[in-house]
Amino acid sequence: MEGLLTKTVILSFLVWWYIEFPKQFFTLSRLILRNILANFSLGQIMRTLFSPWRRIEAQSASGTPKDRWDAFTFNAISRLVGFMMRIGLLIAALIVVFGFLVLWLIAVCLWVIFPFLPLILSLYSLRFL
Amino acid sequence: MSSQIGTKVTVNTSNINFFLAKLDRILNLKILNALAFPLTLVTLITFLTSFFLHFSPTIYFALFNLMALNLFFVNAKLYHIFKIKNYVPVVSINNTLSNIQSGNQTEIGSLLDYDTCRIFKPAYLSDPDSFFIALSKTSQVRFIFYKAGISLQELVGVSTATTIDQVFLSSAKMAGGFEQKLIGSSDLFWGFYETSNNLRRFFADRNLKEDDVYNLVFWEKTIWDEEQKKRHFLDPDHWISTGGIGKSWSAGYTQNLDIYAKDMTEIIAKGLARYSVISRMELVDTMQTILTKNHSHLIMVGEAGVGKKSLVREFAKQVLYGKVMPSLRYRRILELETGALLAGASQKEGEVELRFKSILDDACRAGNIILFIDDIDALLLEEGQGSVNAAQVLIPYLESGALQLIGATTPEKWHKICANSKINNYFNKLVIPEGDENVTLRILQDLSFQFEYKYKITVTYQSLKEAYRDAKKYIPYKAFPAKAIDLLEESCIKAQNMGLKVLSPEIIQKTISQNTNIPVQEASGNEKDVLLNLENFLHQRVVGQDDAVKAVANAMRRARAGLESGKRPVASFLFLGPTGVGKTELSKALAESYFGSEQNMVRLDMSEYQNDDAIYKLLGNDNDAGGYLTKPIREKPFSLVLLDEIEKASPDILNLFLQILDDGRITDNLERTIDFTHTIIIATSNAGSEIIRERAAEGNSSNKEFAKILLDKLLRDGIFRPEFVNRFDSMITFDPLSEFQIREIAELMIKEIQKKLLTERDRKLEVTSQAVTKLASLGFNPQFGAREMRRVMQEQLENFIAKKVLGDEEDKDTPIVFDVGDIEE
Repeated sequence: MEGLLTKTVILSFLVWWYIEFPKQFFTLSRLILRNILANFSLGQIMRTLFSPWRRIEAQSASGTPKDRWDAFTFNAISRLVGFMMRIGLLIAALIVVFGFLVLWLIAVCLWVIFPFLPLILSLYSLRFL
Repeated sequence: MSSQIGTKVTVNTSNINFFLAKLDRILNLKILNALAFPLTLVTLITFLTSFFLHFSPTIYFALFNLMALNLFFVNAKLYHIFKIKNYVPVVSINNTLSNIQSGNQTEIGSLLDYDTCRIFKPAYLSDPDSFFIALSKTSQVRFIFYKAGISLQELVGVSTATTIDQVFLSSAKMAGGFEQKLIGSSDLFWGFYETSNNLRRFFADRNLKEDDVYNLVFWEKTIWDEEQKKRHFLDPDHWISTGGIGKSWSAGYTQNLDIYAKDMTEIIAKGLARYSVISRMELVDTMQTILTKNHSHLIMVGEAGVGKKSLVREFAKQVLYGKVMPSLRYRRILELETGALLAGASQKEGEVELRFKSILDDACRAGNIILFIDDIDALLLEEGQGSVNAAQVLIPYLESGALQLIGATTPEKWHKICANSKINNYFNKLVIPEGDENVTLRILQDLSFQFEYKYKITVTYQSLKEAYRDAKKYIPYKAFPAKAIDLLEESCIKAQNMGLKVLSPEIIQKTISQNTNIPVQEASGNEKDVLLNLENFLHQRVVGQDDAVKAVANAMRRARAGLESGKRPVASFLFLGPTGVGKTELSKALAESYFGSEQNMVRLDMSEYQNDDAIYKLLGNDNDAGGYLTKPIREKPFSLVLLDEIEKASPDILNLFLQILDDGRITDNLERTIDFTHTIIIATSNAGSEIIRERAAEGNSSNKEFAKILLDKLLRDGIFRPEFVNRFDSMITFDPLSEFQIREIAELMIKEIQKKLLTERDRKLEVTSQAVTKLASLGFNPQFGAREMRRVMQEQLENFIAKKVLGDEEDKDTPIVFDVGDIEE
């Protein structure tokens, strides 16, 4: 009876691992990647790459050439600051995404042999006896 | 193993879910999970150290086996999380139901959840009673009994007297109704309850009707079950984001706004807000629909306490987690603190408007703000000290579409705002109704977990029901669900202070009793004795007048037995009789015994309301906070209303009382409904006193026949209209006081004086019997009743005492003696 249960456990696990789990793994990967991208708001960064930093903009109150030049300079600096901050964030996001993809590939490569790794390691340990 | 149970349903215990249930139990073992971390840590350290140190072969052997063990555990956990916890049966509950109802033999075992699989035995199929007992030990059903305040020992000996296939059919319907994939033990519990008369009787004996049991099952399913389940990795909700860094960088700074507003989305994110909108999500969806439109603003209109702010909090939560349309996602919802805005700004004119403008400029500049203004009437109606009308400041911003606004106010204030300005054109109105019983109970169930955690107390279902019932009856001027929530929380605090572990309905009753001074609890012990012998209690203050005392005592007993209709005043009496015979004294005694104190009495001299326009004195003018009648009742709904000399009031005013006596309600000057259903109304009149005195002089006291004669005379003379008299529960005549009764009153008055002298001056007073007789004979005047006796007491006894006390001739320990010789004629 116990032998039958053990066989059922192993069979059920293997069926799940090789047939059902890949779908679940891809779903989970998609969710994690979406979460990473959402946390960095990559879409928003791209859309606002050259926008003034935190919407800080100057207006020319009097309309004189000097006033307009001051406003122009200020706005240019604001946009430059915004750009530099966002580019830094973009680079950080790309690093994180790259790291995730590397880990993901490793996981995919290991997927085939993963259920058998415990057995392989156990058998390997015998050489030290 | 397949087991046949009835003609329609079978259970195959070889289904995979039975097997997975066992695995689930093993893999959930705390010790297993507790060992995982140290095991991994040891393996990792050893593995990393092996690169730098050379270990013996034994260590390497152990290391590789540890690594194997770790990886085996990882495999097992992955299987547990992704397969076992995510079990979905091949067949659906609805298809299975249709199959059963079509009369086909159906296998139902694959639809049972793990809790049920673990306790299920094939033998139960022919023994429903044992099945029910086993079911009652599952966590889901234990929760239900726990919340119902029923111990499992009480089930011993209870026979379910039902069949298993009926139980399964009913439980499948229950599970299908909740769109579940599996049939849980709480569904089976419901199946047993619905199909077993014995169980229904068992719960009914414990004051739990079908609705109550259903609510308990609902509680378990929707709230407790959700709290217990850990969010699954594959559930997208587990991976929700709150907007990200890029989003917040694209919005502007809000320096001024941050001074006068608090960030609701931040508070929600930190889990600091306590609220519940269970069963009201459709209102939140409506809010989303309105605000998704461009340039749209929302005004939420509802009485204080209906949950407007809670709905905004839930909306803020959805916005925070992006569960709304793209245009609303990840925005900040800020609640403007109008108090802070208005504070300290009264010195300079226009300062509030300037502040308001700077806040609105900030919000527009930020570009991602939804501004919530609770009690927006404080900024749009100039009423009372410190308020402003900032409508003209706000309108351009509402038109610009650069920010979105959510306002909240009461119907009465919104009505005034609409009358005073055109600002209502910029808002979409959403009426928030008061929660009904079901909604309120669900909210209380949801919040009870927080109270249990905070006050370390168990909240039973019966106490939730009691909170709802008492809040409805005794707090008429607040709305649900807030008044029930406040009452529940106050009771939890009280129970915690008393060192109790379980909140029972009695604590709720005690809390409301203390707040309203009304005896809410079922009469018990001493109080029962007092009620049954109430005449004796009232006679401690009222001499004679046995008929009047009896009628009043009967009315009170009816009220405390819970027989009042709830649609009229508790009781209403018309007292007729000469002056000074005890009409007012009886009213005071009644106020003390029923409402806890003589202070809970509203006394109106109706001779002041002889003109028709005096009605505004009672109801209030437009500028008033309320009238002499409506204001005190609004503030203290549990009061005795005493209307002296009612026959002198104008006919219009008497018409007002027709409505009160019939309907228990009137509308005041501000169109608010004033509830008189918790009051006792007593009208007194001296009309017909001559007849009463004549009859008394003949030696006949009042009786029912005389009462009819008296009534006929009063109606004939036009003193009262028939429809007015007809609305009273009872018309009671008071007899003139006899000399013997005057002597009793004299003794009562002397006792009062003795008590007062002892308390205030620490002096004793003795009055001889002859002196009492003499005083009584001097004080006897059928025309003036007990008031004459009062005057005699003052002139004779109190003057005597005053001279003795101020004269200071005697030792303080020597009692003051008043004898017949001290009486001045």
